[in-house]
Parts: sequence; structure tokens; C-alpha cells
Amino acid sequence: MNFERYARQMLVKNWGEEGQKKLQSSRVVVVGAGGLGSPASIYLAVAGVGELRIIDSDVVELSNLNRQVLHWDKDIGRLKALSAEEKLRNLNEDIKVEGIAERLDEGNGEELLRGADVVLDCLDNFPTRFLLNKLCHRLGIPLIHSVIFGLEGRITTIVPGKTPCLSCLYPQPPIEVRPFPVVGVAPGIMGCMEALEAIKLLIGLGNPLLGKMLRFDGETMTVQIFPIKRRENCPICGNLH
Amino acid sequence: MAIKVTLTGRLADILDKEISLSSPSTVGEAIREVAGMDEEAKAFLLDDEGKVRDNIIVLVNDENVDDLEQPLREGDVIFLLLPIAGG
Repeated sequence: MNFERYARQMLVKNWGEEGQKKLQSSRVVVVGAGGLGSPASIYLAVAGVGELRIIDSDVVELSNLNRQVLHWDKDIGRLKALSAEEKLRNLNEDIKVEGIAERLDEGNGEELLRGADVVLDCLDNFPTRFLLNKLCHRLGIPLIHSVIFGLEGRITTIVPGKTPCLSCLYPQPPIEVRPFPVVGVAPGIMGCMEALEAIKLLIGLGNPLLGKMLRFDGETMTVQIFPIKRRENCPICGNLH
Repeated sequence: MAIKVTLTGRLADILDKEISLSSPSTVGEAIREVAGMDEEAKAFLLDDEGKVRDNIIVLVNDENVDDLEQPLREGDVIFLLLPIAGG
């Protein structure tokens, strides 16, 4: 394996050749190739994560282009999964990239996620997020969750049986505001944080946001980190220890 | 007694990012007072039976609080984090 592409990141303390090989042998599934999924998958690709699977059933629309940086004018009308696959392959020819133009559902979910070392929630709606949360708990796969609204973003890292899950945080289905306001840099920042959390989990580096939520407020440039709690009676993770 | 409440997401768009409440003695009372300011805000904060929705993350002085009866003290700062879904 030629490490020249990764030489600078391998200088990071506790990364080195061993950390790079861990990334190379990892599989990450990114669910959603939009505002969060674009930056997240770009940085996972250039970091050398060996296998990336990008799941999205939507097509690129003009109104996506203020934030979904994997997709360009020429891609309007094209499936996001295929647009993402093309760009990510061109970014790093060392890695395997697979774009899957399907909507995650009960029927295909386990098959699409199986074998993942980490899953990234880069979705834009709660029903699919709850399904993803359930599937990751069933399969025992860590899930990086992030959401944005306007200039605000939130992120937490969910490890089944160890941390609160999405159903602990939101026992009732939330009221969703659609279309949601968004400035591209907000998902840009949060998607990068998701990639960083995934890399940390894969290499075993630093302190991931376990049992903690980070909230970024772009309006005031403030960051809060606060503890979040498991619910004993959570139907998804209450019986996992 | 002045209690500062910071609102986020759609709630901040409807009301304001920061509002000041003068009278609430508990966290639950503070949330109900905010809900009483606007019908749309009320729908986000209270369910059909008038109970505070349990999908709101409530921080008091940066501590995550789930006891709505928790008493408030002068100078407390409340954050109401409604679920947001964008991505």
C-alpha cells in the first residue's frame, strides 16, 4: 500500500501506519447524499476509508446546489447516488465507492447496512432516521447522527447498548418543518464533524461524542456540549446493555 | 425573578431567539409560559392533551433536565431544543 497520499494525516498522534490500515480495511455506509452526506463522504473518501457505500434514492434538483457540494449543475435530474459515486471515485482511486439509488426501508435496510463498521445518518427526515436507528441497533452498528436547521447543527455518536439512541431522545415523532431553512455551511460543518467522529471510531482515536450532544450555533459561533440520557423503557435500546 | 430562555429552530423564528420570563417557578411552568405566547409555538411544545412534549431537550444552565418540576432560580438560563430534522 502506498501511504504517500495519507502522509500528513499519519503524522497525527496515535494515527500512523496502523491507523491508516484500519481505515483502509473499513466499510462506512453514508445514508443520504445531500447537505450532510456530501461533505461527510468527501472527507471519508480523501482520508482513505476503504469502502464507502452511499445510499440515496433522490435526484439532484437546482435547489440542492447551495449545500450538496457533491452535485453540480450538470447533475441536475441525475440520481444523487450515481453523481456521488462518480465524484468520490475521482477524489480517491484507492478506495471502493458504491452508490445505491434506493430508499432505505424495512425490506432492504438490513442488507444495505450489513457489514458496515460505522453508519452515518445524513438524512433529512425523522421517519427514515428512526428506521435507521432501529436497524443499527438490530445489527449492532455505531451510528453517527447529525441534523441541521438554518445556521444550527447538532451531532451525537450512538453506540448500541452503550449510549442513548434516537428514540431515547425523541420518544414521540417530532413535528417537522418542511422545507427547512439551511445555509450550506451548516451541513458543511456538521457533515465534516460526522466524518471526523467516524474516523475516530474506526481508528480508536480521541473521545467521540458518546452520551453527549454537540450543538453548533452558527449565528453566535458558539458550541455547546451537553450530556444526553438513555431511557430505561426505550423500545429500541432499553433491553441492550 | 428573571429567567432567560433561549429558543432554537422554528421556535426561535416564531418568537425570538432569546426571551425573558418573569414569573415561572419550575421548568414546566416556563415551557407553558412560552407555549402561551403563540399558537404555533404551543403546537411544538405541548401535545393535544396539553402535556409538555417529551421530544424537547431542555437544558438548564447547560444541564439536561427531564424533571419538569425542577425549581428555577434567579438567573437560570433555559435552552429549549426542539427536534430538528434537516440534513
